Amino acid sequence: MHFNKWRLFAATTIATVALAMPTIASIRIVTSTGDLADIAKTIGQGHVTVTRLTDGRQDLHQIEARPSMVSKIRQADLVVVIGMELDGWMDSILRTAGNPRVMNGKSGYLDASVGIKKLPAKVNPNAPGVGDVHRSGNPHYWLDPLNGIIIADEIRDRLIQIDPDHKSDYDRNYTAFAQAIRTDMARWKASIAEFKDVPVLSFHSSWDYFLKAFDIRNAGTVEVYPGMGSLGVDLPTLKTRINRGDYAVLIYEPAQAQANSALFKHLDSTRIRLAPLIPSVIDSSATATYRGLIDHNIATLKSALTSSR
Amino acid sequence: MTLKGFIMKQWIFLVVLGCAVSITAQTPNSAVLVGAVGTMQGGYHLNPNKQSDDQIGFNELELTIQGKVYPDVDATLIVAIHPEDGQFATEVENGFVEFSSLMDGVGASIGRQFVPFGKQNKLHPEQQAMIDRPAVVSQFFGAENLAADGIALNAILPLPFFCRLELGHWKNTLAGTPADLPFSPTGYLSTGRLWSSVELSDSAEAELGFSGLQGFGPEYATQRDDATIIGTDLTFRQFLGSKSRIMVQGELIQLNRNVDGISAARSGGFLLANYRTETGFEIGVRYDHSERADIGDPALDRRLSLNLMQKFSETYFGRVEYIHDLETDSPAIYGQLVFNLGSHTHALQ
Repeated sequence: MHFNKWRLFAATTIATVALAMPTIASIRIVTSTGDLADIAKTIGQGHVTVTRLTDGRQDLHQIEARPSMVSKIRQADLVVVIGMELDGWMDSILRTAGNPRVMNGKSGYLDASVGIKKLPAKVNPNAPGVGDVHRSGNPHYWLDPLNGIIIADEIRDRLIQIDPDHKSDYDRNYTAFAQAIRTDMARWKASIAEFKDVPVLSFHSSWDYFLKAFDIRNAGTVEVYPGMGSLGVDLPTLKTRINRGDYAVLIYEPAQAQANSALFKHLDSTRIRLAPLIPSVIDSSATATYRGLIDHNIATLKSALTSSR
Repeated sequence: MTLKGFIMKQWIFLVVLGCAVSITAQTPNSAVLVGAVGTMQGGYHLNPNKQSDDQIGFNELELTIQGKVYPDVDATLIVAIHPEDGQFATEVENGFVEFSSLMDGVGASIGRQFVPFGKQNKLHPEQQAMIDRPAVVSQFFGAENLAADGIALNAILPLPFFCRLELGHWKNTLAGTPADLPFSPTGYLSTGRLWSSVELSDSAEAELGFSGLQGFGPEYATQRDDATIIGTDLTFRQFLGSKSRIMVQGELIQLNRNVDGISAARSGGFLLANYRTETGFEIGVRYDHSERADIGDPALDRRLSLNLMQKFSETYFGRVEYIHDLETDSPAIYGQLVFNLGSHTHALQ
């Protein structure tokens, strides 16, 4: 009986250690957004645990840093940020966390924008300092799926640096992800190819990469000053241009419609078709993954483009 | 004042401004952050007896230069210029070097900085929830943020939730010692702060902090004037949407003084509630209740304040605050415009 107790104790201990092993061994990744989190999860699958600090519903410019974010960064082996001043609030969290593995300049810190061919940020030529100021360019680059491949490539390289034992797994996952995106890309492009001459207006300049990626005609933005909503918008001129056919579809984010409800009410009475797109991964069925996000946005845009005819 | 006198008086400002322009011109990337925060402010008292305190105009300009000077080492210089006695006074408000990672989870900062006590003292004006600081903070730490020269060590404790211990030793050379100045801890100060936080859900967080300070009162140079301050703070934030959130914050502080053998305990606190909408509009209300720090004057400072704020852009906001002094039944209205040119960051508070 006594012997059995010891055997039971030993078996329990071994089982506990065995169960804990994958957790201990896995690389802890923290990302500023859900898009980066999903790509990191895909490339590192089986060897990483990934935590995102924000949700796609939140305005990345307006994030209030929280102490609990510090705790997550404290545990991290790799931190991935969007960069280009969009998630600048990460700096104070990283400084407070004091985790030497992920400080800027270390192998555990990855600014995903480094390898991206950047588009210029929108500025009002008459008031260049007014509104969202992004000196490094337009930061919404992840909305071009081919940039998603570049992000994946950077994450793969960084994972191999941190965990060279699983290089072949990361290479295989990256190749599969890149292939899937390229296959999807051909499908997405084909699905909206017939609308390439339809002028699409964006509320904010967050969709420049997306429109360029799919050869959609970018007719500009509603915002006169970047990030400042309907301020300074000449509504009669906007309506005239819509009725003249200068703009057929307006793409926007749901929070922008909520914050600028008066302007959107006016647009209801025009011919413009509204396409509410989601800018970042949200934990819901349709847009819970990076590929799902692009898929959802293409389907929504296609629906608006079709009804604009 | 002659031009020479003006230049002599404002030399720090001119040197910093010159450096800022020069550095900005030479570093178009974000390696060095150069910024300026300006505050325009006005106040109108509805009580005719207090209208001599009415004011409007330039309130403060903070010039900031920040950058990395070594891996994991950041330097910050903040020069403030503000009106004083009809002229402008210039001072180095903060000038410190911060070591983010001396060891895993251990950091330090050396130089002049706002002393870490509670949630309020480290906040710069543009970070505050309202135009004025809570009464208990003004009564026990002085009219301006308590800044001092010294060293602080901090460590994130190895717990399953956020918990940070910060210990500091300081010398406050800014407060001066004249007895007619408002109370402010003076001389050599020792501080400790334990700051913890629990994530209640993906969108809600609660913070609890305990702070202590041991030092001297303003009369310590001529007689015994020991001062000990202890405090606790609680903050709850619930994030509701893209930008909207609710915040409730409270702080209780007790000051123990011993002036030439006479002991006195003074206490106070505040309770603040703030709601921000999706459009960047904020409404806040705060109740202040504080005894005065003076050893011979246990009078109360009680206020009820209502604050409305509109954030026009990432770099520009305006707010209006109605303050009702409950002790004297005197209402006043304050307005403030804050602009931010360039860029700067502050440590997480």
